[in-house]
Amino acid sequence: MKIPLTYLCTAALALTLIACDEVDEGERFEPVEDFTPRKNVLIEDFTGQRCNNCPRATNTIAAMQQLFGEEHVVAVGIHGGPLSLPAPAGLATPTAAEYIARWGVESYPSGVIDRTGGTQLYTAWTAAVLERLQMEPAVDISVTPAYDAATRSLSISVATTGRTGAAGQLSVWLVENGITGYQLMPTGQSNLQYVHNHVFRTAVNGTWGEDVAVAPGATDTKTYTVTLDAAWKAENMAVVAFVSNDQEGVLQVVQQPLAANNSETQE
Amino acid sequence: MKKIFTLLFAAMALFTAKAQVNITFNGQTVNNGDVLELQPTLLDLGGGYTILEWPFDPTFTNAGSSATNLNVVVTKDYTDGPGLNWCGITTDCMPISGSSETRTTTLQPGGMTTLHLYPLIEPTESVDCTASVQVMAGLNVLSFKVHFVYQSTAGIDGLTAETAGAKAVEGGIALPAGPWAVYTVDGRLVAKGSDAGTKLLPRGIYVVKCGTTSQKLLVD
Repeated sequence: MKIPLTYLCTAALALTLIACDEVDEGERFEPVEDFTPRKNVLIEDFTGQRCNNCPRATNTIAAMQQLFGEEHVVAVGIHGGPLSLPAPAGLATPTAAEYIARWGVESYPSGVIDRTGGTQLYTAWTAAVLERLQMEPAVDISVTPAYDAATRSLSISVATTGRTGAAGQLSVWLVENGITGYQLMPTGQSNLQYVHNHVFRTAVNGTWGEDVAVAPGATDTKTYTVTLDAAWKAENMAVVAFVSNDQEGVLQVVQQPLAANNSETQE
Repeated sequence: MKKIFTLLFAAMALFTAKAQVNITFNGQTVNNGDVLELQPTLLDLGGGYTILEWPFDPTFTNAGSSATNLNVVVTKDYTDGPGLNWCGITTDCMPISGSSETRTTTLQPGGMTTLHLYPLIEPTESVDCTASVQVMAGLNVLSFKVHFVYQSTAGIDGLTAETAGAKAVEGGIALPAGPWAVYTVDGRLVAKGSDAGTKLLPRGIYVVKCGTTSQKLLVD
């Protein structure tokens, strides 16, 4: 079949228009400017010890914490639902069921980023976290824990200071790192020595926190006292405090270890 | 023009036909119409707490040279029975809503995934149900069934010499006519049938279910 000359010429002309430019070797890559997070971001990681894909979500969290800093990416593993194990054998809590119902969690692993955007599969977390890291926080939060090992009594002082002013709910949680226990792995293997980190233990000031409102420059301080469960290891625990509202999500979140040198235990 | 379209379709067919997904179960190739028996393992987590671990199989492997779209449809073959939790093909776990569900993924050359489908039951519950699985990879379609079976021993205490006509004999169990099933003490199905006769078995304790009656028998 003969191809008309007109078509050949047109095709040749089109090829010249899309030819590559010559770029010097030293100018082929544009360096990414250093990124400094403006606020911290909360990840509520709905997970379960019988969820084989959940370790993948945990790895995603670890990667983000390495990239952006642990203090800026505050993750809390909320064990609940049909793929979790109940206490004392497992890490599920009754409070988790309330959060699962609130966010309509149906599949695992699922995450809620800064209490905005609903539940998301872990493959979408990094982009959502990056977006929230760039926002200006409306409040600053300072947490001062004081623990008495003899009585297992923990006193927590939480100071919320307004930057631009805000109103919402202050939630104060306890999380624990370095818990060794069962986890079903992506390969199908059962890992009885898996190290679970940032596990939600309890909501100190109620499931949904309590109201807080601060004007710019004003500080609101609240103090709480809680007795640690005998099964919890205080040296591996931390306080997670955040202010949130339905319109803007989490305004700011901080994590403060109970022990001075506490950090997440690596597997 | 007609020759060009013919060549194009032939090229597309050749490209698609290169998609080759192997399905295996316990290392064996799954063929059209197969019924795969899925039984759980009882795992003791300590403190008297046990869970059921179901196999991730069957496994889907792209043995071809190009990426392949894998489309898997699971249909429950029952109306009354436990929910089915689906954790395979894609990376999220959730119960199947309704009677049927479809999952799709893309397998790169050499890539693999598993079905990882199992009934939502506790070790104290029993199950004997089937689901149909239809797999489409490129132009290839294959259908098989997965049969979930587990017999809980909860509520079955102590040994007995005879139950509902079944009794332990030397080297096995004599079974009556009528529906019967024999399980290990951790719930795994050993044999089932409806004809009267003697089933030879290795020495050990078995759970025998005749009709609706279950008891433990010791085979010497």
